[in-house]
Amino acid sequence: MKISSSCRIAVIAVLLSALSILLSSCSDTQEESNGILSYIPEEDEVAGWNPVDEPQVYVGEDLFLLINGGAEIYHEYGFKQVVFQEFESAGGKSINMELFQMEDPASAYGIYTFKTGENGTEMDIGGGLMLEEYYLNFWKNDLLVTLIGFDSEKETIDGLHALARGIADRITEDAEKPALFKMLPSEDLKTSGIKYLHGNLALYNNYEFDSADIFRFRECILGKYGDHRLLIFKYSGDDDTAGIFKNAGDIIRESGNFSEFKVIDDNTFSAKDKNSELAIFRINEKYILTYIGSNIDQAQSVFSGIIDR
Amino acid sequence: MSKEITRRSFIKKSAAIGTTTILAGKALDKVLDTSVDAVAQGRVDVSVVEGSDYYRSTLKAVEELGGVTRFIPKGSKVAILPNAQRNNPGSYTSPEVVRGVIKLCKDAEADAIDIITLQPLQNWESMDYTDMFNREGVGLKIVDRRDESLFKTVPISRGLALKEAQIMKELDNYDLFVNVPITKDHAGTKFTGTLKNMMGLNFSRNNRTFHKQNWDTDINAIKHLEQCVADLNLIVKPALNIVDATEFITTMGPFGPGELARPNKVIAGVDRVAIDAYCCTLWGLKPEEIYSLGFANKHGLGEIDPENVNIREISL
Repeated sequence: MKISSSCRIAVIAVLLSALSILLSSCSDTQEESNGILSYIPEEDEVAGWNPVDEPQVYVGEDLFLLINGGAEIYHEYGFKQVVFQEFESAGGKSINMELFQMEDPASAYGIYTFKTGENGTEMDIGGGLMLEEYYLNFWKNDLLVTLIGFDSEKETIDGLHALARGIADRITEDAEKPALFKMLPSEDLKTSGIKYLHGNLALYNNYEFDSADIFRFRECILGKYGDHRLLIFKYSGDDDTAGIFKNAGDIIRESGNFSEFKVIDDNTFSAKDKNSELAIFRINEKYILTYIGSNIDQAQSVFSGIIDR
Repeated sequence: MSKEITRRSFIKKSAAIGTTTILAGKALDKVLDTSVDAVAQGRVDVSVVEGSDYYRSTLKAVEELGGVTRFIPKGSKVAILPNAQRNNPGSYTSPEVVRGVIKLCKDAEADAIDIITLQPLQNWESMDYTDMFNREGVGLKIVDRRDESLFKTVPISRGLALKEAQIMKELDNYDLFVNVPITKDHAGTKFTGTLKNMMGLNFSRNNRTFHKQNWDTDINAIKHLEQCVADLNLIVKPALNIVDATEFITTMGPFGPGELARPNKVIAGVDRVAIDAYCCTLWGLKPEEIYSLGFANKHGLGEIDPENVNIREISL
């Protein structure tokens, strides 16, 4: 088959533009990766701790190569890329750094709250830092930093602190917590128990309404108090919040996870969960408020307080 | 100190396991036959050994099951499948447990003993495994998880969510394999143990289909993953499971870092569902809340109710 010269030129032009797009996207990825590398402290920058071996960068779906099976939760929160770097002390101790770049500061804050426990020590570094037995997490701007020691000895814990400060100093931009955070009543709130959720996987790991995504949300905040928990689901103007609320009620009414389903009024229903705790659900415009506890009067008071604000 | 918890009553179910599809060679058929005989003879189903010497605990756990020769016939070629995440504490099988498994294979006069894995060498080096393998004289067979030609397609006729798997061809070189996971938290399914470790034999792209692309938009993604895990277990059957429950993460699994539990236990047995049902209780989970256990139980792969399992617990 003969190909005309004009056709050949067109094919070459298409190939050249495809190549140019490919090179440009590689260059973008490279620039992004180089950007993330700039947060790693260099040799002799953090006293006593130096990087060893080359940093490893994993972008997008390649996170599965690093985390193998645990990557979904990062993707649910909006994962962009991660850099892995090992540090060693003069005394032979090791600390691993995982620095995750998320799609925005809210995502970084969310995965930070997901990864941190309730029994650690909070410190004022970045947007928040939690030191636990042998590791710490902190977030700053759109980044989550996880530093992992391999024991709880003083040299290791001091190293975690020093590296956290060194990395935080290199991240020049700050960001506020998401606005939804401010809707949680502050009285008796356990700050270490707050979880900012971006999807059903994170919700399922914190409270099982159902294994299916019955709330269809992209933003929820969970607060823990002395004797109850509170979840606030927030929807956008495009979401059919009333439809989601009704559908969730229908599923909970039929669910094996709940019993004693009751409609309290047009905007509120309740049920008992598997642990005999009372779950009360209230829709208010673009929000679904959920109380898990034991006292219906307390729930109504908490809901009123939030709605008034 | 030892205590018998209960007697089990599921001889029929276990007999059914012996007749389902077997992936590996003839020796595995013998192993399964042996386990059914054992049930009939009223032996221990699941042994649990607590102690700070994990190597000794591993040996003792298998001794309590009746000895390694029940599971590994003399002259067998044996593959060992540990869980080898990176070196975050409590996220990977303890080298001391694996060293115990190697000793058991040697005691059984195995003809060949290799570690098989999809995890890269750097993982094994970071966990201080490689020196031990050299000392013990066992091979480390790393199958490139990105090379599809190293895997063979295996249909799963009874699979409800997973209709075919892609199992590493390397497994064909062995008569049987020993499953050596660590039990721990999993951010997708709350729990991982013997059943989920089988994903370590499957091609990574196939494994990705377990984890659906869009957790956001697919409302049933969690159950899908759990059903796939149960389905995969229909075609891959370890001769023996030895679970590291010495120190493991109870949050942020499977990779960590996370909060650690330290029961200092090694658990052994053939029935994967019964073992996992026991293990999940070590950090307060209930077997009936773990979907993969229910699905595997429905497949006839094992007993989910610990009350129906003959568990022997020992402290060293």
